[in-house]
Amino acid sequence: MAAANQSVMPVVWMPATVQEAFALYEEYFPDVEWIAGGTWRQIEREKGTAFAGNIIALEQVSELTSVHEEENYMRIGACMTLEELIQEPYISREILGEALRQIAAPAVRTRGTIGGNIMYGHGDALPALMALQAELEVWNGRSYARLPVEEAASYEGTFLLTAVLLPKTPEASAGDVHFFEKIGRREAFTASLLAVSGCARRQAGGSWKARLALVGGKDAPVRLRRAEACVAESGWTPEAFFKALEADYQPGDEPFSSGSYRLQAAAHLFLSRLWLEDNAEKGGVHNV
Amino acid sequence: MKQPEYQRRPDAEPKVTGSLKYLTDRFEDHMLIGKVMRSKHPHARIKNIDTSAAEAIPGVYAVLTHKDVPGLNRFGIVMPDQPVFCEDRVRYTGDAVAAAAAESAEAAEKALAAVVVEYEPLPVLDSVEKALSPGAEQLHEMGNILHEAFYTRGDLQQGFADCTCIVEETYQLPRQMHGYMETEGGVVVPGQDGGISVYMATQHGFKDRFQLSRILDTPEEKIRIISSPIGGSFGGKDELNLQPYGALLALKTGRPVQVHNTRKESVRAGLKRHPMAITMRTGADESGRVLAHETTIYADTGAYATLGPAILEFAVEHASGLYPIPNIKTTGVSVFTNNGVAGEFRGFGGNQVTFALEGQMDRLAEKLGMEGGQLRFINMRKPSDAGPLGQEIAPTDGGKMVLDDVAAWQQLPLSNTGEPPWLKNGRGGAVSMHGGGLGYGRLDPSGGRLALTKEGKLEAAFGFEECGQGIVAVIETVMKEAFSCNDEDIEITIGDTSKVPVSGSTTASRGTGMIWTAVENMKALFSRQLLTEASRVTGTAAADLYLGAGGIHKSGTESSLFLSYKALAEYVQAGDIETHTSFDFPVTPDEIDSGHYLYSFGGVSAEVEVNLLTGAVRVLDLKQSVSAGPVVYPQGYRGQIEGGGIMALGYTLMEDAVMEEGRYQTENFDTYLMPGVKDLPDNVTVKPREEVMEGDTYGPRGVGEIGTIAVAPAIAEAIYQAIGARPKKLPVSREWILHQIQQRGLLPWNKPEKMLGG
Repeated sequence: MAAANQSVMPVVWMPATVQEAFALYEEYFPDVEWIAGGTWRQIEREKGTAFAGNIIALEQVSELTSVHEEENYMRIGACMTLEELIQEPYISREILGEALRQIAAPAVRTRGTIGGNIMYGHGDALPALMALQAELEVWNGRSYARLPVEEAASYEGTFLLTAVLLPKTPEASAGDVHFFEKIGRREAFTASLLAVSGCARRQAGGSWKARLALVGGKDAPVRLRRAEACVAESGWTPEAFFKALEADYQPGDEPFSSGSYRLQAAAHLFLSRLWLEDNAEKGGVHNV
Repeated sequence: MKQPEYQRRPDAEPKVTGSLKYLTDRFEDHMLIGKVMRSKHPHARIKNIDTSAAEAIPGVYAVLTHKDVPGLNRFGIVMPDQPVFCEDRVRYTGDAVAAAAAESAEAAEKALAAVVVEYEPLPVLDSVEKALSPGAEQLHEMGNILHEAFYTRGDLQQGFADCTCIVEETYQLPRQMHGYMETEGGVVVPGQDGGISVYMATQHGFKDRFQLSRILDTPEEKIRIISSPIGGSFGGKDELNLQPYGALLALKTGRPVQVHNTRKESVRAGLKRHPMAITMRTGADESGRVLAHETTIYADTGAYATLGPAILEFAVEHASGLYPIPNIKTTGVSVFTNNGVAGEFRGFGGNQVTFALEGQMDRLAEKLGMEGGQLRFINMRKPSDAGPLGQEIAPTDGGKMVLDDVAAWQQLPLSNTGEPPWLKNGRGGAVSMHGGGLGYGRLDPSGGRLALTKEGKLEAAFGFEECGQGIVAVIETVMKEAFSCNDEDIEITIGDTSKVPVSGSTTASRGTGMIWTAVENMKALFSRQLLTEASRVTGTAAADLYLGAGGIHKSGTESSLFLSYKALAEYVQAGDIETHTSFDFPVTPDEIDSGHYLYSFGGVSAEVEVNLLTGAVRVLDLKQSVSAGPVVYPQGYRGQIEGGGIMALGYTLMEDAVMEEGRYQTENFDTYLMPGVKDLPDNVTVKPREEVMEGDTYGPRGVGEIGTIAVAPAIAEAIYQAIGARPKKLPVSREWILHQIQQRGLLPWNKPEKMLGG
């Protein structure tokens, strides 16, 4: 029974600064966890994963709850809710906005945060952030550091995600393709089986300068370096792309989707953006 | 339709505003909270149960096991085989082993966590195949077969010999969950006299009373069941669920006890739709006349019976549906397993078997080189044809009417424009036939009561339940039509065994028809009673009086109220103006067990859009034509068909309560997915075909189920039209679709030899 797993009611801490939050974490480690919205964590609790004895709720840390425009990037506080970001025109019109709009349902987006989506490990925002070359700002107890989104999972030591730094890129111009696509088990309000994203600029000979990324099921997000290299070659083929993608991404089977499905669907989604439209004369979509 | 399209249902406002108190919202002073401990194992022997530590926990008032059941420690509508509390063996993870009542849910849960049960796990029979394998552990004294049902006619062998075209397929149907918003629960209040009042949802209050009486060893008169309003049921609350535990705990503690399943508990213990594997072999001659049809049905009924036998018989009856095929052999086997209990669910076995039957018709049509609609017309029943079991039924041309509509809809152009090129559309159609009422050989009484209350209301009392289907709106509409009265003249009494007459169960699409029939039976006498009393009171000849809005009106004058019902009530004694009726649901005169007499018909046309990149299927358009006699309450009718259609869309494309090793893998709504608003079709059409045969006096047929039946085969055919692959397993997964797309090389890069990742 779910409740039997919850031995004690956790103590909830509501620090006002990053430093305070970090100090609390170190003080109560290991019986401690950060909460940034808690929408995903609530489902986990329902499934029987009890909370730690100490919960550090980050929603009152003002440094985490604002958006600032800097010279080259937007600094997005990690505890900005998904809905607040959807309301930001700069984000809304980009593929990050597209990704955020497809997360869960309004009630979840009003509560859930960008930081939470990143730090739970396979959030839908991740591939869009990677395609947009966003960086993460973290506090490691001594200083702020910056790291690429895909390195968050492997970063050594304790850190608190404080902000997402979203480069101010010019809007997609002619010849550019920016995209985000999510597949779930229904049209909305569902965890993604797969989310793919890319920012690509058309080059000569049908090649692309592209940043491609995906996150699938419970996998960690992947920046698709080999696939990017593949499409950078002029005259690249879908066959070569399949091979490159397979080298980048080896998904396992999960209860509601096989690895083979996620790999195949990912390939299709990328190819529909990067190959199909340019190559309709080579066969296009076959009729039944 | 006689009624205006829009008419506010009496329970609309409190439901929309949230002010309505459901039975699970009920709060009583000194109320304790009850919790039920379910089995840790899908199959095990119980060596010992020790509750001593649990009883010692502060705030705990009672901890019960099988030793505390005074009467029969079993329940089950058809045959009582499910233990209230397991004694020495558990057969599924929903089996109850102990229950506790405490001052808080936390204390009750703590108590149950302290109950020590020694189990000896047994091999888990988690499939029909395992349960039927030689040497399999016997789950019940009667073995692992709950029920077998057969139907044959003609000469099957000769029939197939005369066919030029035969198709055979095995169809796999999933375990669908009802998914009602309100999970099972409520409050049980002990009375002074050793009796109890049970405030919990059910679809048949008197049946609950009977079953509880047997469990508690208490006379039925001492048990009162208050069972409406209900936050959804769809068949899922027809059987007892938490009532025995609430009752036993309340009687033990002498205090009101609330029991209410969490969603997880509801998934674990609750009923589901029967998973079935249905093999059909169907043959036709070259003109398209279907001559032979052989069906074998295996149903996974889970650990206990509930209505499993009746559902199997329903599936067997409907295996040939609307087509009077001369040579038929149908075999149904319902098998006990260690999976979740399967039972009552909207459609009642018809959904599964119709998916298979209509799938056969489409496969056969293709092989014969004709349109699916054409094959169906060739084989469609005639108005005077016998029913599917050869029994006499009320003459009807419903099948032809709905097929006419489907055939016309099939000609509509597809809505896609060819852009983007990876979206492929297709349209499919299917038809169905569905028996109402419980069927021949089963007690199926109904009835009602009309009375003038002392407050001057026309009381309409029925033993039916309001589970969201809109039966109160049906009662109100029928009453207004019968007595030309206003909404406010009517008082509806339902859902309380101490106040209502026997009307039978609120199941089997029977409520609307039975209410209409009851009022038809009573209206002349009740009107006469009202007018006679009004005449006596006013000294005006009854012949000069008539019933109208607010009360009695007088002929010949300007239409105005002559004597209000309120005024009339002051002159009469309680019971002076009161009429009863009781009757049975119409059954076939032929002695054919389970055979139905009144049928409804549904025709469905679905357009889908298949995404070739991902295998995602969207239903863009869902049209339903329904022949179920005259419409009583148009909004309710539309709601039933639209809602049923969406429920069936979920069944077709996403819903499956997956079990592995006898344990649910979909424990909550994060993994058990039902359609959300974005999964709904852009266009939904409901077309009632109200015509009935001349001389048909049966009135409305009820549409609670018919909207769910033919949707899956229509969507499946639409998918075939889009991608050229025929689904035979529900739900149709995106993964399966993508695989079919690859196999067929529908995208330029996925020629079969270039398949990626296996």
